[in-house]
Amino acid sequence: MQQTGKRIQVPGRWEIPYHYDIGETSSRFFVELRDNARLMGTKCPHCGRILLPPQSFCGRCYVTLKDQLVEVKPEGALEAFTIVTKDYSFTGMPAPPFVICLVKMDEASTSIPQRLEGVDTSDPRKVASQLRPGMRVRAVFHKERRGRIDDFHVELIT
Amino acid sequence: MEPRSELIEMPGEWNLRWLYAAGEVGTRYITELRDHARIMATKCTECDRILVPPQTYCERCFVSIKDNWVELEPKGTLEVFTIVNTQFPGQRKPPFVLGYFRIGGASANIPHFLEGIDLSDIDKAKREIHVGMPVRVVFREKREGRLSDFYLEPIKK
Amino acid sequence: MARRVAVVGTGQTYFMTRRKDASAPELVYEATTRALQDAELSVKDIDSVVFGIAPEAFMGVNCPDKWVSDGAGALNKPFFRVHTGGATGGSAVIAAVEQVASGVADVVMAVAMDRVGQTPVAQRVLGLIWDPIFAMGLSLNLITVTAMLNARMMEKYGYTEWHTAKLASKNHKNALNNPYAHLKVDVSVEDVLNSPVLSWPIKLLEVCPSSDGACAVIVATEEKARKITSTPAWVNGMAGYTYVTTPGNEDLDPERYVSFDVRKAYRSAGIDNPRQQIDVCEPYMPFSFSEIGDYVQLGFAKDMKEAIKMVEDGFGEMSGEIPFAPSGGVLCTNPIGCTAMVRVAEAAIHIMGKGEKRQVPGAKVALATGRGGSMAPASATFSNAFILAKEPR
Repeated sequence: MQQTGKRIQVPGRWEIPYHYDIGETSSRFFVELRDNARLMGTKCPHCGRILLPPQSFCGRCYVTLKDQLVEVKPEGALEAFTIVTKDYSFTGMPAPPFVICLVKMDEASTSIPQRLEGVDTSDPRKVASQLRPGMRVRAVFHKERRGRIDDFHVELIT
Repeated sequence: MEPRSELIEMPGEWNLRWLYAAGEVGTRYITELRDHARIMATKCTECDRILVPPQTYCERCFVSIKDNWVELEPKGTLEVFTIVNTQFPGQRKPPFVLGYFRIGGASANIPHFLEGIDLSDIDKAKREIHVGMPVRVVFREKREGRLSDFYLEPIKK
Repeated sequence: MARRVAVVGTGQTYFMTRRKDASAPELVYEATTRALQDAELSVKDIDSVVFGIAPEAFMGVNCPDKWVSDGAGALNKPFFRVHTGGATGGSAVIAAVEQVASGVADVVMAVAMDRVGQTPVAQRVLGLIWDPIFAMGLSLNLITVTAMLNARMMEKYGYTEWHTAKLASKNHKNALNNPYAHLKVDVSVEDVLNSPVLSWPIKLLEVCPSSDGACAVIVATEEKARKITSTPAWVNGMAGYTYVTTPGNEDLDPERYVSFDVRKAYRSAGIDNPRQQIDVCEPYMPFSFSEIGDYVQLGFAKDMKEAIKMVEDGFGEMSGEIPFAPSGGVLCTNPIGCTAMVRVAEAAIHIMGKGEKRQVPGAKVALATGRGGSMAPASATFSNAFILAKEPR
């Protein structure tokens, strides 16, 4: 119980564990990532878009894409970024500093969020001035992969 | 349905903390309970219902009743009960009796635990406990301003 | 209502504890495509979408309506979410029907989903719905609170565990005919009586499961409905009601706990003798004992004494006067935020003649109800009722 003058506040807690069933299509993405270091998207036969991460239906054409998995070459362009600096540590996030960005692989129609590494984050403003949308990036797959989105990160292609 | 490939399950957790504002009426109720071992209710000036836990407004008459307090006599009757036999995650270890009690003639019932019942023989306990059973409120020595500051037990004849 | 509205198509997913093969948007998409197929419509024919899901703490994704909206067919269309606890699916249908009746849209798809099985601690989530100031720390969840209500009614009205077990066995056997049902177990009254006691007097086989799944119901204006299908299910009565439950004695008493929403729905539908005029009922019933009180609240029995006799005589059996829950009901399938919509879909299925093995032959008028909330300090029960019929009012 917390009391400030005449006002009482009652503490509470939500501690709820989950097991998220991600489904067949998303599972295929993570299995290919883990076992073969490949990125898979789904291609819509109507509008031609390639969705990365893959979806089992196209929200625009409202058709199923369950059997339309395609490999996506792990190279593309930086669309947007931000730098989380040492000034602020968000609860539940990794320790700063780090850079998160949106990347559009050349062969995909959608962007995915990912961590950008290989830049010197000790001076965030310097990094920010060096990064520009459109810069070329490639996915770097980790040696040890678990089937999670952090099995790879992206780096600038220099 | 035969899956064509491995189906992945990802773990997750919501681990969140809160500080709920008790508000003016809640603060008074908690303070009276903690500092004076009194259960306080508010009374509607239009329909005369005595509401516990106390309400800031009567939802039926839609008027403010936050200044109309009454103290409840610490005894009453058991209105409904269940004997909980399952360990629900994060909840009290079974077996225990959970019930609704009409205390001090209030119009609303308070949920709480009924103590002082021998639960080693559930069938016997089921016969001993009954709707309308007279109960008394027992306040604990150390109080924090929570419902656990008191419990209910049968008034033995 | 200003314009006549009919249900022209429904869709459901296969319900189970965990649909491991599908993500949330995929579950929604499965239900909506089935409904569109049922109505022989394309997503382009839908003017607007109303979506329902109850506490997101079950599936563990905050504001999941954003994630699943494209699966619900909402791209480029008006969309909003409704939430009334267990009544959510019904409220989503009410919102959809009101849009059509008022003329803001001609064809609306109501969609609902829940994934109660994505957390192993669903009852812990249900232990968090109470007023945090006064009611936390008291081992209240929906099983313990409902058990108290059942215990009180048993004492006051004189029915026994045998009665509630008989009703549970009936529902479980009905589910065997429903391809979408979650629990499909052929259990006798004895089996139910011998199942583990969770919170006396409620036993395991008398309570609903935690289910994953989705449902969609498409409603249309009269002009369009007649073109879309030869078997529309007319929404002749529809009402919502809120009971605020400061649990004084009168709130625990079904003989005075009048279902105002059901009465209002009857009035709009021109039903003045429900026992004669209703052919099938899909009630919101996660616990088997509530069917007894339902006989009174829905106007079939004049009091609890008569209702208890009706249980003994098999009033709600498939062979009885008014089959209750031919689908197996909520007792066998409960994806909480979706469940009340499944009641409407199941009621419509009988009117449209699409019930297959669970069809009540010749059903002309069906009643569906939704309930959300519970009896506890500072809580409420949201209630809704629907009358669907072969002939428009």
